[in-house]
Amino acid sequence: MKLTPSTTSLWNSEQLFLLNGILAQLIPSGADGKIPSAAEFGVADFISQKVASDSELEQLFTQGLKYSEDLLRQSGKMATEFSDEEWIAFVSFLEQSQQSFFETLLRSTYEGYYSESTIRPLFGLSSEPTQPEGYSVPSDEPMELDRMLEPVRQRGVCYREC
Amino acid sequence: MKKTSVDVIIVGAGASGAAVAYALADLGLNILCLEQGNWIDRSDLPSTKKDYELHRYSKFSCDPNVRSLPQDYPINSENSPITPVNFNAVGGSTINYLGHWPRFHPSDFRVKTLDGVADDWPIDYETLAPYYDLNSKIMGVSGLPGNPSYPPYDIPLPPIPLGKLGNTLAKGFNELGWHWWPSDTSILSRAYQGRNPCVNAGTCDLGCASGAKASVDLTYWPQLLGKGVQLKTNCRVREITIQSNGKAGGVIYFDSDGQLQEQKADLVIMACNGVGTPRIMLNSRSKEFPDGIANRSGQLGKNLMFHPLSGVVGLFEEPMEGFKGPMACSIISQEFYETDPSRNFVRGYGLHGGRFTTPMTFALGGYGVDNLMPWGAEHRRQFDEIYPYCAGLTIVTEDLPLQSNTVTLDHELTDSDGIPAPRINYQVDENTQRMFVHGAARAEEALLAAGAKRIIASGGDVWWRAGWHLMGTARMGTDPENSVVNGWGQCHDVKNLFIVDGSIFVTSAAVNPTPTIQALALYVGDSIKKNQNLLF
Repeated sequence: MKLTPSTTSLWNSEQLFLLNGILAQLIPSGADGKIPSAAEFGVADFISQKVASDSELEQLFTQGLKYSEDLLRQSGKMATEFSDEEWIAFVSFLEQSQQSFFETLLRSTYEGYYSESTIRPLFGLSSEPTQPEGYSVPSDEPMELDRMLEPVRQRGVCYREC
Repeated sequence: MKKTSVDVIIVGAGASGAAVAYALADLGLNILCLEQGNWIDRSDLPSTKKDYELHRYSKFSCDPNVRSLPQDYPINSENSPITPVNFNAVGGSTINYLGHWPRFHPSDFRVKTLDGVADDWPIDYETLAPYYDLNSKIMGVSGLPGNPSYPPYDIPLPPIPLGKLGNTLAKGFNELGWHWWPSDTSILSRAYQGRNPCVNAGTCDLGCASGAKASVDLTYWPQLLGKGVQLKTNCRVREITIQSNGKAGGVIYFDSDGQLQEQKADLVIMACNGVGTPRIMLNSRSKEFPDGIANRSGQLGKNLMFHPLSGVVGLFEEPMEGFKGPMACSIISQEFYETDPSRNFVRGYGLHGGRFTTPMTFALGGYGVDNLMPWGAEHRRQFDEIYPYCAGLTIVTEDLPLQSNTVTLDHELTDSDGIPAPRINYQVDENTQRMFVHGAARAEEALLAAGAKRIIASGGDVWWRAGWHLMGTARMGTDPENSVVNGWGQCHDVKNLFIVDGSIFVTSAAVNPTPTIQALALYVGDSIKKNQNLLF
């Protein structure tokens, strides 16, 4: 698992490694390597900033990560020793056992990942704000539009006179 | 408290408040509008920022309970499958609405006579038609004249491009021999009256920085200010006062410094939408009106109508470019709009071919929905194999009025000024549910006929964050026993109190209401001008 160094100071290195391990499962990388995982993309930084600005969220993540660390200890393995299948099982268990934390983590992961402008071109969108440039959409040729609408016109009016 | 008097006070600077002010502005009256929000800074809208999608889930959410800005009031929607959405600013919800602009049908004003349900309106399509036309010119509407679903009318600008998605869907409707037409939109296809044309940004809900989408801060308000209409922002009305002679005396409001003020007026006009207006009126209690001002009928706050929405999504072979173009507008089908006795429901619905959405919103469940998509390999698959290839149809159903669907006051939940929040009690009725079943099946047919390989989402629950259309809570009628206002928006019980927003709708039709709200507001304003002798 390749991880982007994080600048966050909210969590220690073990917690950060564990969080990134989870993030890599939530949004995995593309098979061709062109689309990075949430971990590779540095979503941990986004989450860290979001959590640091909200005391309730900080408490939820502190407890959630503590639970995750305990769960890891119970497995008898280091996070670095997990196979992909073991990571999936670990995250699935977390989803079942820590629903509130997990849902918040998942939502935050999606927000952090897809709010990064550099990710949008991978799905065909511009990396720029939508305004003022927007997108080019060709105007419909009036004659072509007329041709397409001819069957609709031929059926006549379709509202009730009253 | 200040007690200087004005001729007319309008509460709310959104779609309807601006329109009624326009109708009255040439009379030489002293008109004051109070707005709880402020002017928006167009250069600072989310659509100008790189992380624009994040704003949809925070300070620019359509949901006031998510935004929680100082100018917002909370809404208790615990007893509703749909939560009302809005925007509080000069321009109101035209700031973040999607600009779809269909008119009501003539039959929408005659539902009792034609279909035996609900009530007829005290006015008809022909009465509103000139006001629809006037409003189209002021707002700047794009579309294609000649839609056989309506009596003929003019449209100032040519239609916006259908785009790949709209063209694809249109082929499906043609294949089935069903009605479709390019959507009327309050979005400019060409430069118009100093405003720029649409750039197909696809983020209409995040405010239109280019100004192509008509919001009344751009269209009506510059003209109104030029005509001398006064506008005070960050002023939140708490209640309407009543005088000993039974007339409204004005309003009590919190000014921009949080100080309580009284504003006297000869005429009070409410324009705060179908939730905000009953909220203030229910909160305006007195000896004469212990259940809220102008509420002797007991109808104030009842008959709340939304347009329950649901969607069907098809998966196509080619990318549909669904993020390009105005969000809610491409084509509309009204094949199933009018009542057909062979169906198991009355009235009807529209199939709206809007665009698709942006990646974050897709991941979070779709626009108006909170339903996180799966994580892991399935997440990867949905983004790689599904997201680019989606096109959908939205089922927009008529919502019939029910006495049990209400806006009341929640005295436990208040805004920052201590004014009780609105509480929504709402259920989707059986007729509407039958429409959804029918509509989902027809939408599937249309998508498959358009070339969809398969259907990946069909109907299901109504969308939660989709209470855009707030109607019916102070309905029009000729009988003071079962309606709040008469046929020109005047409260039966208080002759100098008028309502001009969606509250006064008798029925909801099955189309976006803003063009009808504004046409009604212009009509009410014109009627006030013509009937000044009946005001007091």
